[in-house]
Amino acid sequence: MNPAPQTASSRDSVAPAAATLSLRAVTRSFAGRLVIGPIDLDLEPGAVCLVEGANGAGKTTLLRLAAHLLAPSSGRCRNAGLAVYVRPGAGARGEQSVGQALDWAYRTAARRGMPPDDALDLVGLTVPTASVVAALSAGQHTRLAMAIALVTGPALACVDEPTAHLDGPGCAGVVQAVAALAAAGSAVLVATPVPDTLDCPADAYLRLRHGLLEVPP
Amino acid sequence: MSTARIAFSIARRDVSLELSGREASITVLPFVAALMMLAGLGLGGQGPVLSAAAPGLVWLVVLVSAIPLARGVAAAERADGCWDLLRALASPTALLAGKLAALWLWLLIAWAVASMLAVALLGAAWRPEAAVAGVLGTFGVAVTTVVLGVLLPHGARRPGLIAVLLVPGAVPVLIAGTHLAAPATSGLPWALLLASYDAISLITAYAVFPALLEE
Repeated sequence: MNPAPQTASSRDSVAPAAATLSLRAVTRSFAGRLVIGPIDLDLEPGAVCLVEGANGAGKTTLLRLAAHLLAPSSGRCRNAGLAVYVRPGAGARGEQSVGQALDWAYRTAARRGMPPDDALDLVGLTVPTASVVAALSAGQHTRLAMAIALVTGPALACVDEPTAHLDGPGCAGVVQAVAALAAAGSAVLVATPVPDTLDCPADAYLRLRHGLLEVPP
Repeated sequence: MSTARIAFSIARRDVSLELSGREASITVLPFVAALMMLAGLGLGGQGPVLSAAAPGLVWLVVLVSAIPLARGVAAAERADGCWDLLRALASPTALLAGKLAALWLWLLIAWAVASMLAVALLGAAWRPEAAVAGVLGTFGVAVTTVVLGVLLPHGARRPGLIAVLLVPGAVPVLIAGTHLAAPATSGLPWALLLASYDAISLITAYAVFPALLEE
């Protein structure tokens, strides 16, 4: 029997909203081995859900299922609108400039997100926009990945271990980016193995252990 | 944003990436030039033999060129962590169309360079039907390459597998393209064969592409 679905609502919400993300009895197996599930989870627009879990607990699998990048082995996964999966070092080709990568994502997402310059300011990426992505440091690339998520204006942002490679101000930039996404109405699912590195106000805190979601004590 | 606009955006991005990095140009164009020049030596340097072999040689070069170009469909995107963003922002149809347009352009360039070298170095006769073959044939090869490029992004022996699957799969293009460009052949049946190959490839790609994207 599945436990009752975990639901994350925005702190400001006064009435139930249609869920941006709805997972029902979702499982995923790899090579016949059950890695995650069954999972029940609802995320409402503007809600931030922080999922902690040890390495190998299934965090990335959960986020990729939520973003529709991975098909569930069983169960039902629905999300309303654009879902992006963000991880450090992803989102831009090495040959692109920072400006090209952001402009392309912004235009292709129909300019519904934050303008690129504002996104760069928010995440604290101060390199010139003509800088080639391949020349960025790991931390700068992580900030760029968050900026790309911001410019796409997603309905759901699945953010995987966003503080990897980041210094203190970089972590603060991630927290601001998550808050900005939520303020713009995006549901945000953040996964981290070390919650202490991410001082991120969230509407729900969950723990993923042995492929199952639970509410930490 | 409509499917067509997103597809155009993806194709334009791929062209822009090529202008920035010149990966395909550096990989493919010297290879095309070297192969056409070496073929002249390998075939004995006799004019009639070279001009007779030139049309088939052009299409062999195009097919082999598609193997390194297949990396740009998904493997290079995955290596840089961009595949997930592409899948999020583009529908399967838009992704197929965008990648197809860019790959078609590279194959057309490879075909054009190979054809010019065939005329200049091997003494091949130029026929207008060859241009029809170039447009139709490279389109079919591009469709097949996009499908295989998505199908095999995880394979450790990816280039070898693509070669094994692509070259036999594109045999109709090799045969029809060669006959269309060769003198003293009736062009229409071969052009119809190429058009049929393109249509079947495109319908198949459209049907299977969403499933190929699933992990």
